[in-house]
Amino acid sequence: MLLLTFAPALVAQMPATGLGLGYPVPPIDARAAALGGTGLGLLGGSLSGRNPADLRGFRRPTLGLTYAPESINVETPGSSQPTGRSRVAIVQAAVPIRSWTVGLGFASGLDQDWGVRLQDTLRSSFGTFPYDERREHDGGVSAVTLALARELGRFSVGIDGSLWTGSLRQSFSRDFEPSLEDPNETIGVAGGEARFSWSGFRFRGGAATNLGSRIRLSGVIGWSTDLKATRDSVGADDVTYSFDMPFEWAIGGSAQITTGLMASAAVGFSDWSATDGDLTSASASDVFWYGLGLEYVGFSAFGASLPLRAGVRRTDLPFRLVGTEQLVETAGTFGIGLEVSGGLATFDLAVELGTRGDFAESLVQESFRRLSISMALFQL
Amino acid sequence: MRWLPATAGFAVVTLVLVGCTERELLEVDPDTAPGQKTPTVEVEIPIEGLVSWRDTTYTGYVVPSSSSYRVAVDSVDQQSTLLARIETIPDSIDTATGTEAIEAYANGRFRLIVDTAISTIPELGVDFEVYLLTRGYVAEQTTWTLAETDVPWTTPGGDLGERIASLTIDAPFDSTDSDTVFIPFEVDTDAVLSAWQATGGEPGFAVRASGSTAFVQVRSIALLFDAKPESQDTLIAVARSPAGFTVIFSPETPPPGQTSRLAGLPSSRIYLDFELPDTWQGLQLKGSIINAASLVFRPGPAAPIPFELEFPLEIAVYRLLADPFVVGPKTPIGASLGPNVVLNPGTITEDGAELAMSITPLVFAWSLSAPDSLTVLRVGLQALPEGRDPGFWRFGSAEDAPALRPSVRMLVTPTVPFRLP
Repeated sequence: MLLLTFAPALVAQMPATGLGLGYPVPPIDARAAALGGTGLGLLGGSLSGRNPADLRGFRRPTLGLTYAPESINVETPGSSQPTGRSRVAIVQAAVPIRSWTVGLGFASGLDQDWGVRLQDTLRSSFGTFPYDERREHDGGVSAVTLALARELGRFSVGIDGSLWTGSLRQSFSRDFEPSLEDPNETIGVAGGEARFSWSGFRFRGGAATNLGSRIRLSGVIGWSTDLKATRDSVGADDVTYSFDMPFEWAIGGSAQITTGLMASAAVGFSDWSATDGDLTSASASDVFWYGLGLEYVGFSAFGASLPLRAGVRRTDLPFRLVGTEQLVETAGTFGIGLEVSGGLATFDLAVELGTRGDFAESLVQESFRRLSISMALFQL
Repeated sequence: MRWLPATAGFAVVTLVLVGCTERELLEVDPDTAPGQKTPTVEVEIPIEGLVSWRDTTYTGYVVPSSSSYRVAVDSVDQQSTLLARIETIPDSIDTATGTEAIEAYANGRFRLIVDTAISTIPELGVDFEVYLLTRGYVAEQTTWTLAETDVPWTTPGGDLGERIASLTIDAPFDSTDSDTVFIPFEVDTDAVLSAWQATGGEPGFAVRASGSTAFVQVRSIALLFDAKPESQDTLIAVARSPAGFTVIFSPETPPPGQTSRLAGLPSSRIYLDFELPDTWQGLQLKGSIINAASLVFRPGPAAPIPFELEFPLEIAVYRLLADPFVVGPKTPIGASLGPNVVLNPGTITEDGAELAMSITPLVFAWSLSAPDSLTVLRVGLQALPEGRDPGFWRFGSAEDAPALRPSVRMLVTPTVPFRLP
């Protein structure tokens, strides 16, 4: 097969979601995203899924949803291709019952969506057939989480159990155009697809405490069973893959520096390197991440406060191409919030501008603009 | 104005969301692009690489009596004669006063309609001659040497008796005036037709064209004569079409022997069956996507004069519905497997020329069939139009030298090995 110089890229464009088990999506709401992706021990509560103990931050039954689309440019030397992803980052419900809080959540875990398109030409004795090829991965791993938190004096403790679920559909199609020599000469398409179902469990325990009324600290540790993938495509032999999922910990907190200014910080670790032995076409490394953020509450609109937020964050990404350097993601974060209907609902918006990877070192580089939109409803 | 901030915010969010629309990445190199991939590979399997292969040429689907080939030829390379019978000479005729017995026949003449588009009238003209046959023939069986199966002519070319009609046509033949030629009887019409009336036209007559390089395609022939009713003096014109109208020619079409043959007169078809291997040189065929598949035939040398192919033919390929080596030439044929291919005598002799017939649906079905459910693939090839003339083309068969043997050519896309990282 020979190539037609049709596509603008000169080298392969590997999206971050195509590496290893995918791109880990932080289970945070827009407020946490705007505060450097922290989401641990935030004063005022957070509908992030970082720590079950933080569910005690809500004194009323609460339901929140965060949608986080992302505009991406996949970068290679001399070219840049736009694409995008969209995902529901987290749906979280919290119901306080006396000193207990029950939480139920759904969060994105690993985003495995991507698609590439090739244009090439097949030269054969049957003729010369330009073709259009598509390779797509559609799906990912999500977590359905049941959490329980209790307040014990100045402390909150929480545990949760998550079911790793989801699926991945891999597809391939090659559509041939009619022969260049004879438009009546056609050959059949080629294609196929496979579907894998994800399953596994994660258990976490966390604690949080308020130091006075101005500081809140939070920490969590988590452990997962192996993540299993079972091929369930019709007509295919059953194949099961097993991937070691990381032990993880994170700590963070926030402090009310002045009446209108709050600072937050968080740091975390996941030992994804344990997964490395389960991968054949990718490598995995431990992930260390941190974030810092500031929130200023001093403006208002329509009679409601309008908090402004900003932050920075840095995180390693667990998966990389074999023989390349680990990817690092950095971003500057910004956001606003809006409380409406007298506290019945809040809307938060976050914009993250950042990059992940360095083509020279990891052969993968993306710049991205992520928008997180959260809506929370509170029972009065 | 209260809604201005909200409207502006909504517009910003909408624009950002539009910017986040998932779009495929364009890649340039199939090998380095991410994702599961599989090549589309061209393979050619010689028949030695197949599990089995049998081919044969069956002949006789169209014979001279059922073809439109009605050529009277008189040349160094070929001679031919048209044979026919007039089986329906009437012994009575309808008149204004009723049906009356025929007292006599008169003014006999043959009317030939000539296809002047392909006929050749030599400069010296051509003599059309009609002879009585002295031996009957079976139209479906007669040849230059045989009156019928196992019954030879006394003289090859037909046992000719008395010449009953003749006509000389001068060249050039003015086809713009008429394509119709009348050959008048030169003997007593009544004697000839009375004999035919009594014998049902047996044993028939022969039409020959004499003249170097004469090549006359006769589209139709008829006998015209006048009948005299017993009680009347008026003559009534009568026309009769022939039965058993056929052509015999020399040299006769040689048998195909071990080579494969298409076309000719009697016409030949190639019937074959074969079994594909599940893998070929490490490439999985069974279960893979067959994008295209063809049977490839290598042309042999052109047939000898006068059997060389003069005009292009279309070759059709179809599925056979039974084992042709058990059922024989009457093996039922199924649906067409692919488009017809033009066999052009001007290009089939070029170096590397081949006849590639698509059998994609058949091999595609084989690839995806359950094990042992479709093992033997049966295919038939036929020339269209069939039996147009004696010209045929030869192709290598399993008995020929390796360079001439057929092969199976395929474009194969193996199943994508979907795996996780």
